[in-house]
Amino acid sequence: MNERSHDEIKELIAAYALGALPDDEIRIVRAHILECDECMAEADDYLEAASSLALSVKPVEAPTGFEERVISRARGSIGDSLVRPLPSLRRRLAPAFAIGILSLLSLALVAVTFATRSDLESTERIATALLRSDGIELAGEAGAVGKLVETQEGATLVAAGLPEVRADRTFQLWFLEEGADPVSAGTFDASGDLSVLETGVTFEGFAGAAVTIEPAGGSDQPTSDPVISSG
Amino acid sequence: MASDPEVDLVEGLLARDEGALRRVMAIHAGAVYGMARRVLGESTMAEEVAQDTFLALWRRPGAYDPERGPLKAFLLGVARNKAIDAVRKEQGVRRTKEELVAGFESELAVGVADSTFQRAAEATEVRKSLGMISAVQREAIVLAYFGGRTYREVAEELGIPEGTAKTRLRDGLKRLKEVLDTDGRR
Repeated sequence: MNERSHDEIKELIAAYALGALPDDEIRIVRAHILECDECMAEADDYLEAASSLALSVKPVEAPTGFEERVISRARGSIGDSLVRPLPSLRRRLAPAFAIGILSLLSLALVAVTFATRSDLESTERIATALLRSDGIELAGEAGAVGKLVETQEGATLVAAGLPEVRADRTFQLWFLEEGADPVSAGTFDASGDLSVLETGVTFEGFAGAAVTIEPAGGSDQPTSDPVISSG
Repeated sequence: MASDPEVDLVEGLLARDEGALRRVMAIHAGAVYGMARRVLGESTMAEEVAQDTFLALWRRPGAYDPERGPLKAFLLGVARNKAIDAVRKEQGVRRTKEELVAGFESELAVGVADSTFQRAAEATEVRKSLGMISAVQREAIVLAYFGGRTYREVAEELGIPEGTAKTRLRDGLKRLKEVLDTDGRR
């Protein structure tokens, strides 16, 4: 049933951009546009047009007490995020910060950019974590490698040699367990040779891990083959 | 591209600054609640969806990428997706075709009141663009985008073949993109 022609899938792209596809067809379209430049460009155009629809909506004054109710819930929710990806925003705004942990990993990596003090502390924690010997090693084609290490803060992934991806694509880490769907552990960008993802969740109980390339924002389930995996 | 004040706001959220969350809500709560109401009508679920939208930003501020557009567009997208999820889980909150289309058309005809001239002008421009696609295309798009219908449900509800529904959605979006590009919005 998944054997759809290019033309058949092309007909579904507008519905995809509007969020008007059934789940099974969403996966088919996503998998196709990752491979097809023409359909990718068309999807980008339609997504832009679809997002403009939202701007036509008339603002409505929120109910009395709305803000306080949100704040109350926010106070109760700090730290309960499923994933805590290293925000790309901070790296983008940051000066480059070179860190020489090449020898620790035997990876062909050079630099990673971090900004704030907490990021620097984070870097130290990552470097320390990398020294531990009980990490899960991941590998892929063309020398792409990664190491997943369990820390007190949750599992941290460091990867190097990942392929370049489009600006509207992201890497996504998955925890794997036999007989169950992969569980997302967060998304990350590979802005330098070294990529770091602090998941904030434990790897315990899982049998393996893999990284795939997904549309920006990540996917509910993998839509492409792993670029690195624990094999 | 987001404006610098928005980057500051997101930096505040990343730093777990509650004040930043308050400022985001002061600017965008009306739009976000408006989106929830558009999809869900005057239900209590509309407020729940609006709350969840800001909580999602609070919990994962890194999910918003300023390079991909303004914060408002991101929040409206999140609100719309959450509202559509609610509609699909609970058919009882699903708005009728007539409610959806009438609400949309009335907003096209009237103005959009917003708190700043820039945002009001932006909304006006989008509404003008929407007015330039055909009524049947708008109807299909409204049912899909604001009504949470799949293209198959659009076809069924409008009594047209699925192929026709797909064509209306595609041609409508294509035309909308052309008009927006012509008007210099990218």
